[in-house]
Amino acid sequence: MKSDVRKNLIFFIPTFSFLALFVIYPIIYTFILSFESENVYTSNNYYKVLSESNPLLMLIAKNIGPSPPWGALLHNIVWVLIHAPVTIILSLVIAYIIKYYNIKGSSLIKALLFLGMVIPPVIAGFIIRFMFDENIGIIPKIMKLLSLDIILGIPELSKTWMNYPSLALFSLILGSIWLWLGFSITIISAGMEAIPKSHIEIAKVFGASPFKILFKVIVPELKPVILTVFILTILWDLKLFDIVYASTGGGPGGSSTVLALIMYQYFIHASRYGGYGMSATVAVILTLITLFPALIYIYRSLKRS
Amino acid sequence: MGREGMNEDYIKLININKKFGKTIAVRDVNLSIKREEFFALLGPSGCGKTTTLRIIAGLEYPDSGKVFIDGIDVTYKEPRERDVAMVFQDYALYPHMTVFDNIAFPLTIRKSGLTKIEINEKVHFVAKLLGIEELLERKPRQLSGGQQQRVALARALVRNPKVWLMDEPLSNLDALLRVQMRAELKKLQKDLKIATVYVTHDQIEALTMADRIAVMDKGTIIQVGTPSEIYNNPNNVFVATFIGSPPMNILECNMEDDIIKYAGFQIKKVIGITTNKFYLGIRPEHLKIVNNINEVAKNEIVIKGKIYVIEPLGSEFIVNVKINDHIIKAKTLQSPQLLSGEEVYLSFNVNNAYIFDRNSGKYLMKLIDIYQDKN
Amino acid sequence: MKIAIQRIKWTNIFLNILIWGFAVLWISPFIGIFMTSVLPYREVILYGWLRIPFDISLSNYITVLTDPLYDLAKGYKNSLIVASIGTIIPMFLAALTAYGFTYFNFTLKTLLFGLILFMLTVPQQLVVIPLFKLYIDIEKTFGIQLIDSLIGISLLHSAWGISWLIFFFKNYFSLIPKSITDAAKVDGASDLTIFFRIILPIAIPGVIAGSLIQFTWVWNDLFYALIFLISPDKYVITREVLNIKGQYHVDWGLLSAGSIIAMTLPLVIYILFNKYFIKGVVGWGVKA
Repeated sequence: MKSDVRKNLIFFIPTFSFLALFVIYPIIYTFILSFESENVYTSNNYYKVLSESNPLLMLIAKNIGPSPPWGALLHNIVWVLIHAPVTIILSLVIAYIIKYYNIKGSSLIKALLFLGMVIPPVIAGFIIRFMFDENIGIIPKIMKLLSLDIILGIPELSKTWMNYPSLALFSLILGSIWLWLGFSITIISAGMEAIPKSHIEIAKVFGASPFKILFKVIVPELKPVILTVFILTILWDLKLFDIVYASTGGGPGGSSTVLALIMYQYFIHASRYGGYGMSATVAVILTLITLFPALIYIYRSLKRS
Repeated sequence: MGREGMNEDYIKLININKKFGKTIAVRDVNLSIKREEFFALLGPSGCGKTTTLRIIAGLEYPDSGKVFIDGIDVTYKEPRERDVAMVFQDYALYPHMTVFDNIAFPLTIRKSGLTKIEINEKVHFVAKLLGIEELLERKPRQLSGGQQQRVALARALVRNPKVWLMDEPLSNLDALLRVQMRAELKKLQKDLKIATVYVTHDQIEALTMADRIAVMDKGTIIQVGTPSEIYNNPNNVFVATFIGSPPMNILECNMEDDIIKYAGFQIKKVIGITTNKFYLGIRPEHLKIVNNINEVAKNEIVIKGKIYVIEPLGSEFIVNVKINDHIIKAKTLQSPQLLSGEEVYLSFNVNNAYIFDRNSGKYLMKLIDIYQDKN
Repeated sequence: MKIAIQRIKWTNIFLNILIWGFAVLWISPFIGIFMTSVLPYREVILYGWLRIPFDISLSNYITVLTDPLYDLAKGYKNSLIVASIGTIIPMFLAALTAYGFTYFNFTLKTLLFGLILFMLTVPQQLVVIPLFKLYIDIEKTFGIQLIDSLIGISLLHSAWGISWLIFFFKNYFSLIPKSITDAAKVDGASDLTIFFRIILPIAIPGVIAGSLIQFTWVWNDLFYALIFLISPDKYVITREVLNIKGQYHVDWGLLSAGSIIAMTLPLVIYILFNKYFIKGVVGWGVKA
């Protein structure tokens, strides 16, 4: 009823004043700034930012070779393309085994794997760097143990991955899979709980193999949940900052840059680039790219409620 | 009960209309409820009775129309400015508070200037009235449904409100408790003499508890009257079939040359009715089983049919009789000693047969008004 | 029949080992970091950390906490302050507004709620530049220092947390039966009274869950800290640990000790309130 709000402005005014100053106004101003360069208004920033060829700052490389640097934007995209499917398939398999094969202490395992979500991402960045260190890290040691560096002809595999342009980005991507596995397993597990046992039993009665049950019965019923995990993963992978900053700083030679990092670089060196305009431009580009999956996510969650 | 002012209108609703989006919830509702009256709003779900109650409470404001309580226009006043109390179907007890705090809540939050001791006294008084004194320190989740109900009632009483509003308060109780609480509530209301508006979809509840009933359907009031008026003089086929258990039998009849035709009988020499098609309504308890067809009295009509099934209810029997494809129910005190499929004759007095218009459902007249006995 | 049962048992045993092996493998980096923090670095390089330690030393921890070069103790304190303020403020404001969205009907409601949802989708990068300039301008005009100030950054975190907390609380409040607020209204309570004496007490589990998640989020932040905290004595712990990692040479002993210290509080909160976390996260994921 109309009088509800009029008598109760306190429920809204403090909050929205706060938000207006600290969120809404900055969002609008950043958009405006993205068109500003050397105190003049121009759309040049977008062109400059997208055509930048310095590997430390570029969003899209001019020549795309077999190894990074490919430009921050492409790095983010590659990140999504690897992270999302691997995480989803891995989570499906693990959640499936945990639920249907009577794994003891399953809630402890899930709680354990969830740790990755809880620690500061900057620390996670250090841990990932640790994992891939040639002296004390596991991965290079395993590579050496299994002679994968020789078999695959990539000697760097048994060294510190972060030191090599060809491997730095991928070490981070693998690290992020490790880090966020717990989240997708938790959500997919919860989704599996909602599947009636009878569906699985019927499939078993018909003699379906575990693989068939997983992919023909469970996955179709989990489609909404899987889509949610997919969208959330995309959103994270596009907005990454801490992990990269902590472990590689975007290097070596810009081979592991990400959009947020580029935005930061333009920010701290604003005087070099004619003000904050360029930084704002990257921020806007980052936002526009994440807006699409974010809106889909919100549309779906609103539809459900 | 000759108290002065008792008969004046205490709660008045004038031309109340309320829409939710495109749905009309309440249309042109006019009501007058008297000072010490137990007034029921009766109807099927979706008929607008709860919305009407909420408008009296102030939980909804009408789109148009006025609400008066004790002579004051409260149409757009908030609930707390109206001095009403309400009991909800799910009791709506505050789960984090003790029973005592629940009951005391209406007192503690108003700047009523009551001391702690006074509040304590009032709470104990109503708790005693409702027999829940030993429960005061418990939390709602520790109580049974019936106990929670009483706490809700106590909370509604503690302030001595002018008006008592109840939204199907007994429907979540099991059958035995419900019957018991019906009597207790009625007595309570009579003793405390508070104007009460009671919403229910259960016509037995309305008939047994209310001084007057308003029957509602699709947002409008169909009929207002005492239980016996509603029962014996329904103004509409909807009211006629909604009240009474089993419902009134409704027969679709045609008129041809002064003869009412229905599958099982013909009624001759009927004059004074202009419609050709109408509904004939007869309550099950007004249908008798005829043992000797020659002993039928004057002003009694006989119907022939076949026994479909007999439902024994302990003290009475519901005899389902099939006439053509239609089932008619008769209520008898003794078992008819007949088997399914056997032929049976039912009779009814023309004074107990109602005629309703087929299009509007309106009550037109009783059969006796147009019937001319051959004798 | 016996063979079938035996086969099933073997499969189960095998899978149990597989999953547990996987879990152990998954958690080994944490073990590695811990080991590296308590063993002398040299030994770690020469002998690896995968062994039972015989000489544990806490020297790394002591150095990292007390040595003014690293001063993690100060960073810890700063993080506590920032995370606390950055949780209490948004929690309170968001709960109020969520109440408004849940129980009031007004024409601007959908628009305003849509605005909240929009703010949820936006990355932090989109707001920092104007905020940075705003803080500088405020200092110039009013002399209030908000850059390089714990209060300053706490306000930013508060603003950032409000949007998602509103969404979170609205979902939570809508689970409370409407008849309870109706009853309170008829009993005579104003909306503010209902908010403080009915809704908040009933919503305590949700309030706790939301607060823990927000606290952890603020504690874990690095981006705002990088931009808005300048002098080392104002650094929060995440920013502080960054300093331990040198440009070229990494002292893993110190860095791992610092990491463990920085992680402890979020970890402890998670272990103690695990249920709340999972419920909150699952609510996000499964609902959509």
